[in-house]
Parts: sequence; structure tokens; C-alpha cells
Amino acid sequence: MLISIEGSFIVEFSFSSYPLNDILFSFLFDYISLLFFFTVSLISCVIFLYSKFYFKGSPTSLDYKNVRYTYILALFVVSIFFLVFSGSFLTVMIGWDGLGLVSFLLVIFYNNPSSLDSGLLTILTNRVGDCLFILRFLMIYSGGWFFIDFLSSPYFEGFILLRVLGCITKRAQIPFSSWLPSAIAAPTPVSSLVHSSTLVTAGVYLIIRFNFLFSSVYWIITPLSLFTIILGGVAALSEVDMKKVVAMSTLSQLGFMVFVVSIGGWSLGFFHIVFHAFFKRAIFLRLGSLIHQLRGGQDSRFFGSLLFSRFSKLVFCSRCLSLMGFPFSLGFYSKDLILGVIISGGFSLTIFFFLLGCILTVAYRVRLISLRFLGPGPSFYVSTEFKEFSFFYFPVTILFFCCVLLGNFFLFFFFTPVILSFLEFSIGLFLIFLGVLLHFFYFKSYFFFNYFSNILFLSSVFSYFSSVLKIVPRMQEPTWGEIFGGEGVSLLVSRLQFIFKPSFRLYFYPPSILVFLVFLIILY
Amino acid sequence: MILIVFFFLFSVLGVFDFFFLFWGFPFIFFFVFLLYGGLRDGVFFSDYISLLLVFLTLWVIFFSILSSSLRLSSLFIFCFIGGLLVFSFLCVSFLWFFISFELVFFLIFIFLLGWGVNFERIQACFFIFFYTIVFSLPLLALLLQIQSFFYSFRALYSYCGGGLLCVFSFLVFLVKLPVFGFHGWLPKAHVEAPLRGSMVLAGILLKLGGYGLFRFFPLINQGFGGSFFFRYLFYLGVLGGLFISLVCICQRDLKKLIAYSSVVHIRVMLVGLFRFSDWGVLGSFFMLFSHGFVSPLLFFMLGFLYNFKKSRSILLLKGVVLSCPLFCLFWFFSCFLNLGVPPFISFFSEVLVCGGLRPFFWDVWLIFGVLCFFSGVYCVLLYILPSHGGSVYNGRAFINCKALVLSSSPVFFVVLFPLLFFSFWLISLSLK
Repeated sequence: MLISIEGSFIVEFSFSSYPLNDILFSFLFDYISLLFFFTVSLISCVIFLYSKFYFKGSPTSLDYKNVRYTYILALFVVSIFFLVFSGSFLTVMIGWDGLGLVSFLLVIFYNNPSSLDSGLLTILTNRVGDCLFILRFLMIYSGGWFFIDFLSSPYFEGFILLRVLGCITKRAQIPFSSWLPSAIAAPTPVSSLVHSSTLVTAGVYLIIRFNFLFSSVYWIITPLSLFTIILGGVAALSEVDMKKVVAMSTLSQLGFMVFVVSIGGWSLGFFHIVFHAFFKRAIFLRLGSLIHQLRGGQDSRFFGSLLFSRFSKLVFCSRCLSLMGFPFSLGFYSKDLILGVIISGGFSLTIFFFLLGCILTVAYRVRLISLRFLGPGPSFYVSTEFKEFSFFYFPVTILFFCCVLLGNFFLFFFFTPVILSFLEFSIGLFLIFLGVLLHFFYFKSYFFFNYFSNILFLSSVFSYFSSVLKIVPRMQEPTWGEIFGGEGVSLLVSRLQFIFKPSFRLYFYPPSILVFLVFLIILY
Repeated sequence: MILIVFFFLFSVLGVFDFFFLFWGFPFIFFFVFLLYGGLRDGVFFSDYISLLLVFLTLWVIFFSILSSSLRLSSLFIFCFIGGLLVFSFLCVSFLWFFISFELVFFLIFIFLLGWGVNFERIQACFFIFFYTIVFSLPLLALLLQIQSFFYSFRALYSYCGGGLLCVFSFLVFLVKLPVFGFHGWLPKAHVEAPLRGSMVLAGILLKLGGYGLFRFFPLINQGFGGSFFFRYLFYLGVLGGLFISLVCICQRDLKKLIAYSSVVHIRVMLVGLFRFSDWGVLGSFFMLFSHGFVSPLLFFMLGFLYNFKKSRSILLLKGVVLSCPLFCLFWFFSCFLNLGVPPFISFFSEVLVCGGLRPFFWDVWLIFGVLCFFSGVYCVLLYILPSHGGSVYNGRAFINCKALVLSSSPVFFVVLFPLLFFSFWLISLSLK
């Protein structure tokens, strides 16, 4: 069945049987989903190219392993397809569950205990979201599945709440944010795919899709997202592991998007997702080659002013500047518009925290650049034989041009004409300035470091559960019900063996024959 | 006439069998059949559920016979079990149903004993024996009470009795499901049974209880539908599922873990069935079928793993993905079919059961959610524990072609099955 409404198409496959009238597989094609899938497919194409480079460089590459990797990655793109084009609750579930499972497989791709731990953390948190989504079906049936009355039924609030909580787990908002930093145990191309566009933004994408329903629970989303922005920013400032810094920055950017959606500007939030996908991807790609140069080391204290590959340095700097919202880069267009929208609404505590989050964003970007390029000279174990070849240059170049040119393209074709006043422009610049200042005067205490690199010990609390699963005493089932049941009787019989010793050992079934005889006697 | 030939064939075969205990059974059956009005109501009947269960039975028997070579005597027992199961799903009289399913358990009991006489095995046999025979006696009493109805399932709708006897007579189905508290025999039997035995046990025998509950539905409704005991059973279903999924996580033996996981699935099915709603019943039957396909597959894969690693303990099984990645692919499929991944049937069953909880209570809802989460946890553990988590690499192992075909075929069925089921449902509706 094909329905077309105002430039968007809905394709429906339905099992049209009487009691199950409601099970529909429908796909929705409109400009939001097409644009998002365009981004995802472009970026995953880039990742496929890049992973050829990455696994060639990695010391422990096995051929059949790479085949496995490629298939899993392809599955990832398929499940993203289902999520993006979903038009019904069931189709969403396919993409949603599929993303969780496939990302789990990718995280545990390296066969060692630590990546297994983080994989467990990832899938268990995602499983919480899946459970909430399954329970949501209960609400749907309670309120009525296809009645118009559904929107006014008392169950609707509960339905929305479940939906939002489910989205929160996957987009790693504050109570469930611990899986995101631990998911970097995956190979670098994968973590760039997971972090930048697909998995974490899936939750945000769903919120954008259903934003007209969610307006009643924005009071929950807004403080959570603000908290996430600030916590992610501070954690990114105090983290040492290079990959984790980027993961934390993803966390704070996610908070950013959700905040924008929750104050009403869903289209701005959507474009920020798309932009963020491009620049975060490029940062990860560059990071992968850097990790190869350090022979697998990720500790930022060993990264110095590396003398190799000026080209990728250029790319990396442009990305960081773009994420800061440097004028006329990609991030500038979305961020400055958001700032303008927010500031025009008058001043409040929310806006203060949001501006603080923006300043933190700039600060950790500056930190990334300075760690990479302004530190002491290259450390001694940098491998000199490592070369970046065409499979590295090609994807990075694509993303570079996207970053530079795409902002203008989107501004002219998708946004309504906006006049950027000098005030907003200067506010953006002022924020960047403040962020740079913050970076240089950042309070560097050990406790503070430790506290925030654990993101408020959330990760330790959550990983405690998954580690308990592995240490849990593998015991027999202790039930007293058994002792009074079958086990007790069998004990009794084994005591009786002293009496009926020879016959009992040889043939166990005399009692069964006896019972069968009784059975026959009763019958007749 | 065909029936008589069938029984005669088996009785002749029984002469050559080691266990010639069955020699007289067919004749007894025949007399019982004549005495209790079998000719009046007809012998066989079928609706969509019994047909699908027969299909499932044939598939599981076929699967388990193919999965490894059998001795001739155990092949006979197997065929006999299959025949009895098909008969019990198709017969119109509940007396026949009762007799044949008790006999199947008796045969399983012999099947267990045929593989050795260590103490644990005898204990497991005793467990099966104790639980199944003792709890089936109240049902027998009920059958005697309502014998004037000629024992056809249709007659149950006009039965107006009830009371305590009715309540206790359902214990036989609840034990065979099994519900929490009476599940002690299941893991023990699974651990001691050979691979094929546990495939049949998990694949079909657990479905007998569900089928029985469904057929005796009018009795539940009239006997104790609104009573305290019924509510107790319902909550026992939900809470017991939660407990057993926690027990699952603590298991050391993979085979035991799979056995317990089947108990959890059955529990969800029970919850759906006891809600008395259309969605719930449909969801519970979905659950039965999906479990019937997936759990033999899991046992089959485990058997392969056991042949390769010579162990079932999770302490020794690590890093199989290095030595046999193709096995891990299928192991992944089977584990996550067990979990309920969206486009497949087990997901639909979960959703339908969840939708069937419609006049809902917050506590049931909450417990169901937690149960859902923990069932996810043990399925993930089931996948992870053998395949990942270490780099113990002792040589490559290869799945042979037969194992490949066998392990991929149930996946196909699980994909296909919702369509089949929907079509059957439609046909049955149009006949009404």
C-alpha cells in the first residue's frame, strides 16, 4: 500500500487478518528520513573505505576476521535503514533491536576480556531500552491502537514516558550514559560510526520524529540534557585517554541536540545531528591513523607535536574549529542559529547552563588541539614505517569538503532565510574566547580529574552490574521445595535401597510397573 | 482399521525390542477405545493449533533423528514417541490424550535409563517419574468423575462441575509445563538425557502441558477462574519467571542454562494464557511454536560444541569464535532467536503476550519488564560465555555440511512460521 502526503511517501505491508489488524510494517520516506539516510550512507561508505586502511595497518589483522567485520558492519547499515525509514512502532523495533545487537557484536570484536566487559555494558543498557519499548506495546493496547481517542486516553502519558525513557538509554543521556565511553573498545572505524551518526543519534532521531507527541514530557528531557552537556564537557576536559575525550565530547553534543529539540527547535536539532555526524566522523578517522602511529597507544600524554602528515593535521584542526562553531565552518551554521533562538527568548537559569555548556565545548576542543599539536616533541616509540596511503586520504578528503561546503548548502536550501545579526555573531565569538580562557585556567586537581573521568562514578556503578554477572557464584539452585519434592523422595528411596538392594539396583522399573498396574485397575 | 494396523506393527516391532514391556499396550488401547465411545465421537479432529503442533512434533523428531546416528532400539522408541505425540495432539477424546502423554513420559523415562546407570541418572529418572505420575492422579480422578460425557473435548463446554478436584487436576499440566516450584525434574532430566532426548523433551513435551491447558480451558474458566488459587497461579507465573531467569544467570552448566531458559519461556506463555484474552492466547501459542523450533536448535548446537571441546562448563569454554567462527554465527542466531529479536516469531509472541495483559496491574507490568530484561541478560550470557572472552585457541574446527544444513533450517522455519500461523488463523476464522 502506498500513500503519498505532501511530498512524503508511506509504504505499508500489512498482515490483514482480523485480530491482528494492527501489525503493519510501514516505511516512511520524507525529506527528514531521506536526508538522514543520505548522511548515514555517505558516512558508512567512507567507513568501509577507511577500514581497509585501518586493518591493513593494524598489527593483529587476520583475513577471516576482516570478512566477519565487513558483514557485521553491513548489518549495521541495514538496521539503521529500518530505524530511519520506520513508519510504525514495529518497524522501529526492528531497527532499534538490530542496532543494539550489532553494536554489541562490534564492541566485542576484539577477543579480550576488557572489550567483553564494555560490550556487556553496552548491550545491557540497550536491553533496558528494548524492554521499555516492549512494555510500551502494553500501553498501546490499553489505550487503543487505532482509535483517535488514543491521544486523549490516560494511558497516553505513560506511553510517552516509556518511549522517552527508551530513547534516553540509547542516546546515552545522564542516568544511562556510562556505556558510551566504554563502547570505544570497538575498532576505531566502528566507534566513529557508532559515536558520530548512527547509534547514539538514533534516540535523538526518534525524539525528533515524535516531537509532536513528546511536548508533554519536555520538562524531564530539558534538565537531563543540560546536565549531560555540562558533565560531558567537564569529563572531556579531565580525561586522559584520547579516544575517551572524543567520546565525552559526543556525550555533550548529544545533550546539545536533545536540549535544542526540547526547547522546541526540532529542525535545528536535526541539522545539528547531520553536521555533527560529519565532523565527529572526521575526528575519529584522524584519530585512528594517529593510534597506528603510536602502535596502538591511546594515552594523550604521549601525543606530541607529531611531525608527520601535515594534511591530516589540517583536516583535524578544521574539524575541531568547526565543532567549536568557528565562523563560517559547518558547526557555525547550526550553533549560531541555536544561540540566536535561545538568547532571543530572554534570560533564565536554563540559558545560563546552556551557555556554560557551550563554553565547555570550546574548551575541550582547544584541549584536543593543544594536546595533539602544542605538546612536547614526539615520544620515542612512534613507528616511522607507518604510512598513510590512498585509502586514508580519499575518505578524509570527502569529509573535509563536506565540512567546508555543506554548511552553506544546507543554509540556502533547507533553512528559512535568517538574518544573522552582529550581536549573535559576536556572542558566538565571545563564547569561543571564553572557552579558550577556560582551557588555560582550568582547575587541575587530581581528585577532580578522577571524579569526572568516571563521569560521576556512573560508569563504575553500571559496570559493577555487568562484572557481577561474571563473578557471580555459580551455584546450584537452592530450593527447599525440592527437598520436600522429588529430591526428598529419591533420598528416601536410596535409603530404602538397603532393604531391596539387589533387585532395585538391577531394574529400576518395578515401581513403575506397579503404578501402571494400579492405573489399569482404576481404569476398569 | 489403519489404527489397528499401526498398533499391530508396533507390537510386532516390540518383540524384537529390548523393552518388550509395551507388548500388551496396543491391545489395551484398542479395548479402551471400544469401551469408551470412541466410535461415536470419531477418533481424530484437528484445528489450527493441533495441526501446527503435529507439524512441530514431526519436525523435532525428524531433526533429532537426523542430528546423530541412533541405535536401532532407540530409533524404535523414538518413532513410538513421535507416533504417540502425534496421536495425543490429534485425538478427540481427552482420555486418549491423557493416556498417550503419560506413556510418552514413561518412554522418556526408559530412554533415560538406557544410557547408563550412574546415580545422578537414576535420580533424574526418579524425578521425572515422581513428578509426572504423582501429579497426574488427580486428573485421572476428574476423568472418572465426568466419564458420562464420552471424553470428547467438545463435551467439556457443557460440564458444570468444578471445585477443588478441578483445581488439583490441573496440577498435571502445570507440572509438565513446568511452573515454578514443580520445575525440579526438568534441569535434572536435561542434564542426564542424551542430546536427542533433551531435544524432544524441550521441543515437544513441554508443549503438551500448554496444549492440555488450552484444551481444558472451559474447566479452568468454570472451575476456578476467579478464585484465589487462579490469581496465585498467575502471580506464580510472573514471579517464577523472574526467579528462574535469575537462576539461569547463575548456572555453571550450559545445558542447564538452556533448560532453565525454556522454563522462563514457558512461564511467559502461561501468563499470556491465563489472561483469558485473545491476544494473550495467540501470543502464548506463538511462544510455544517459536520455543519448539529454537530450543532443539540450541541443544543441537550445544551438542556440536560438546563434541568439539569435550565440555559444557562455562569455566572451560572460551574463545570459540577464534577456532570456529561459523559455529559462532549460528550460535548467535539461535541465542538471539531465543531472546526475541524483532522480525522473528519470538518477538511477536512477547509483544502479543504483553498486549494481552490488557486490564493491567502495575505490579504485573513492572515484573514483566524486569523479567524481559533478565531474559535478555541470560541470552547474552549464553552467547558470550562460550564464544568470546578469552584467547584460548586450540586449532580450527569446521562445521560439516550436514550440521550446517541442520542448524540453518530451524531459522528458516522461525522466519516462515508467523505467515503460516496467520494463514491458519484466517482459515479457522472463516470456518466459524
